[in-house]
Amino acid sequence: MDLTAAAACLPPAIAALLALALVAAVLPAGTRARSVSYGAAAAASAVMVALSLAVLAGAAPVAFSWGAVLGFSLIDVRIDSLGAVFVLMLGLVGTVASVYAIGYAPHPDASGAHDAPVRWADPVLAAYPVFLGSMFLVFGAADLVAFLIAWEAMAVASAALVVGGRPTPGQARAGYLYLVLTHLATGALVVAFAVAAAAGGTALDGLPAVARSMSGPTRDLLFVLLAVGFATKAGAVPLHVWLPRAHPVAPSPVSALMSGVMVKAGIYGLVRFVLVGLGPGPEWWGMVVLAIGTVSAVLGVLYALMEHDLKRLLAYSTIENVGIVLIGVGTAMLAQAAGLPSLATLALAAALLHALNHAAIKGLLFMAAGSIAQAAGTRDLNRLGGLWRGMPVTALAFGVGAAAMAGVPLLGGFAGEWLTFQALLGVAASGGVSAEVRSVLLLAAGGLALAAALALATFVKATGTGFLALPRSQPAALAREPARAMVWATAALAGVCVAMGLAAAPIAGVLAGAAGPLLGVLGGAEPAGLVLGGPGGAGYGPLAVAVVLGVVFAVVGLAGRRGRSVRRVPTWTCGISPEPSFEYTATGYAKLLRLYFGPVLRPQREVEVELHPGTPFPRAVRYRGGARHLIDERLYVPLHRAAVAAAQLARRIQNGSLQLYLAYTVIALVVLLLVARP
Amino acid sequence: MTWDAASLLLGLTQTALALAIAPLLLGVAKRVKARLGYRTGAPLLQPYRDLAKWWRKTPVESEASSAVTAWAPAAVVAAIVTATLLVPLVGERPLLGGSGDFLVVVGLLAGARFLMALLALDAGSAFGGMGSSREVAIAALVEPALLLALAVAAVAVGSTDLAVIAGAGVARGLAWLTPSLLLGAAAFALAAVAETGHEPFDNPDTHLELTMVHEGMLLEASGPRLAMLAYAAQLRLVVVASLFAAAFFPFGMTVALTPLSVAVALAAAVAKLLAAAVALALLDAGLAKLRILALPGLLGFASTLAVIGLAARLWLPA
Repeated sequence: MDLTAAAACLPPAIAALLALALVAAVLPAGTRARSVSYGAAAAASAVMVALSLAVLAGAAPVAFSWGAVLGFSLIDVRIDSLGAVFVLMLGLVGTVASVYAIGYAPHPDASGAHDAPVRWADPVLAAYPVFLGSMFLVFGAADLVAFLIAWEAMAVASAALVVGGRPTPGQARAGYLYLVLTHLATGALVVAFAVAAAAGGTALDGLPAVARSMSGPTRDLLFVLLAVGFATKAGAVPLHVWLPRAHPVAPSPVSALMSGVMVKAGIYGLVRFVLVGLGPGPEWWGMVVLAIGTVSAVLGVLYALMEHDLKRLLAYSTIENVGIVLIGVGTAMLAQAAGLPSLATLALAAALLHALNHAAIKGLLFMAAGSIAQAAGTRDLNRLGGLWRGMPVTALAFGVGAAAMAGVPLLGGFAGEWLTFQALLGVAASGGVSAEVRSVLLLAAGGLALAAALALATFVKATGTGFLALPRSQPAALAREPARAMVWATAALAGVCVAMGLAAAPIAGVLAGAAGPLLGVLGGAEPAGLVLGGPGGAGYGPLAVAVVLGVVFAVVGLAGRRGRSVRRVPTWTCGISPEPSFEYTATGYAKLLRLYFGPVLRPQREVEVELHPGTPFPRAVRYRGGARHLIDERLYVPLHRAAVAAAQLARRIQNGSLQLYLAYTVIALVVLLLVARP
Repeated sequence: MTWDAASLLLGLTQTALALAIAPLLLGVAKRVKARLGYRTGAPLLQPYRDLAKWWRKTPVESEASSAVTAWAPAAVVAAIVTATLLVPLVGERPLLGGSGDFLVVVGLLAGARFLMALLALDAGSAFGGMGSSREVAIAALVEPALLLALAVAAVAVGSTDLAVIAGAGVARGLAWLTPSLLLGAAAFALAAVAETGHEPFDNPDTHLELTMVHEGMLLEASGPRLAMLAYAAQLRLVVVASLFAAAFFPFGMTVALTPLSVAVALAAAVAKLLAAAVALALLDAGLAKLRILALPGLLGFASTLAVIGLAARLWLPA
């Protein structure tokens, strides 16, 4: 049986396994049924990995359709090489997160946890396999209608998982905001798809031909609608406000999937419908995407730096990385518009590489954060610390993920940023684009460098204050590794992250091979060697660098330890015994950067000193501080006020009086009769 | 990439020079500072003796510390030694050339910083946190300036590969120093002072908690670990100075492998490194430390210079 025939058997297997997961989830709750459900979900995800690898290895696109209604198929899947890249992300994170979820069951002594594992047992968990399946259908949809159905199912299932069965007020608010914004996005997509369908059918394959036949303004309108719809799902600034609220309150395996994979559905949409579907457009399209990406990267990481809630920090970091991916997509659009197909392929490969790496890394970090929240009962970095003692495996796994997100070479995050930088400089240095475009490209390069440097500060802060030194609270001191499935899943994903970083060059080669044909580069795929290549002979060979670094590390490290005992003594703190309150807190650690970026972050501080009565001596000092979120305050608060004011106005003519409504009807009838007179 | 015996030998020589000269540069800088302060100063070879002394001692570590304290110093040294192998100095082809461009070099320096900053937090001392948080904050402004400055040279040749950049510089001679490249060089120089931790950004001689940045991170290190971190800091200066020389001032670097040109190139490399050390010493002796809240202005100025350099290349006829 050849590869294509073997791959064709896989979609039914995925469907069957997800159906099994669904059935097991709705059975009367029992630990066994839940384990079967997540086990089946993990198996389905593993099959997705096999399917995507088969397609990327050269099998023909896999097609599968089921459930014909009114001339449309409810499920109409066709996984080509682009879809396969995203299915790979989904399968990878899905497998690990599902295994993790087996352990992430209700925990008798975790009732105080902010991470709310108790609610995880609710019947709403049936939404989990639906969530996985709908994401698969989004990446595989071969038809606009099938895409919209899957897209909506993905939104509703994820919202159900965010809100949970018995939501706290915070969860309910986050879920509501998420639903509102995601439907705004879906609304934009529905209009865009309707325009496209009216111009020539609903098949995804036919889109480029349809787009070519459209007039300029129609294409511009389509671009704007698609950009709004997909940028919202991707969490790009300024449409990001739902993301840092919804991702942290979801159960951690779901957070991992939402941040790792679901936001990539927005990226997938932009690539599939704008870059490939609409094809080369005017320069301003690419510049808009590039600008959104740059702003998202810098603002996302700045807000991540200000957070001391670990999961919110990770959510803001997702906005940063989506920004970096969008920089790649925008560069690809500009290169495509300028007729530079090989640079466009390079830029798209950079975007896909960073998206893939980010999926694994962010999945890993969210899972580690979930373990911490369950073990220590809090996600507040200012109350954690010293976790490496009780949770060494989770600490190491988190450290790997943090280093990767901080852009440390050899790991995956750096490879994606490296390739994105190459694409930016390559297009900027080529003669094919205007000076305006080159300026925007170079500013994006500066923004990318700034974001990478700030990410380093963010993840040193998260790792250092969360895992090192002395624990800052009793629960942190008592925290131990959680259930084995959680620890193993996290550790395995950390291993995958390291391997993906070292194998970045061959992976990028495969991704370029997947991206090339989409942009009209046939057979020009990069050979999948051991060195990542950029324009002008620039190269980055992670393996060679790793070998040299490893040898030097081993020699120096072992020589420095040989035959030596180490004396362990308390930290010198000027003669008094060390206390955790001497350590820098997460908030304190970020203070200098909070002041440096004051014009953007608008830091606030409030110090309250309570004195011993009748004396000048303080009894208690309370500090409250933080950054203000300008986009929330300047854009969404006024929007909200305007909406409420508009509703107040509408209330004057909408006051519920039946007589008034009858009068409206009569007036409308008279007007109609007058206007529509033949 | 294939190697013949001669260029392999040159690569090894260059690496040996970089690794060996690093402590000497510190000795020279300290001597210059001492003389400017009317003191005799320590012997030029004192840094080597310090390293040897620390290497022999028993390490003392905090009871709060983890494996980071034990292993990060070696990893920091490894990262910076690897960076050394990627930067041209005597010849345009470094030993590990082709496996990394200047982005990888800056990335390795950042990776070393990631570990150092974690190490500083590991003992749970307030001083370590202070040094660490200052270091990452300043680095957040330095790195973009460094990369934008190097981008000026990269855009000039259409490649981020240091061998390509240095080769183009040597081939073009003084024509390499276009106005935009000089702006990039100025930006890089300013950022490099911060990257290596000298006045007016940081005072490498102080252990006063109010002012220290880099030294604050080393306070808890001792024995061989202190030796590793101190050597890594010395080597970082070599890497940054050779990066500057390779991108903006590659003159004297050998392209042909004749004995004479190699000798000239060796002398030029040593002269450039010593000049960098002396320049930093002059800055240390002549300038006061800037208020830490005023640093963004100066580093923002460096980034602005680099952006103007890039704009000059893009908008003006070449």
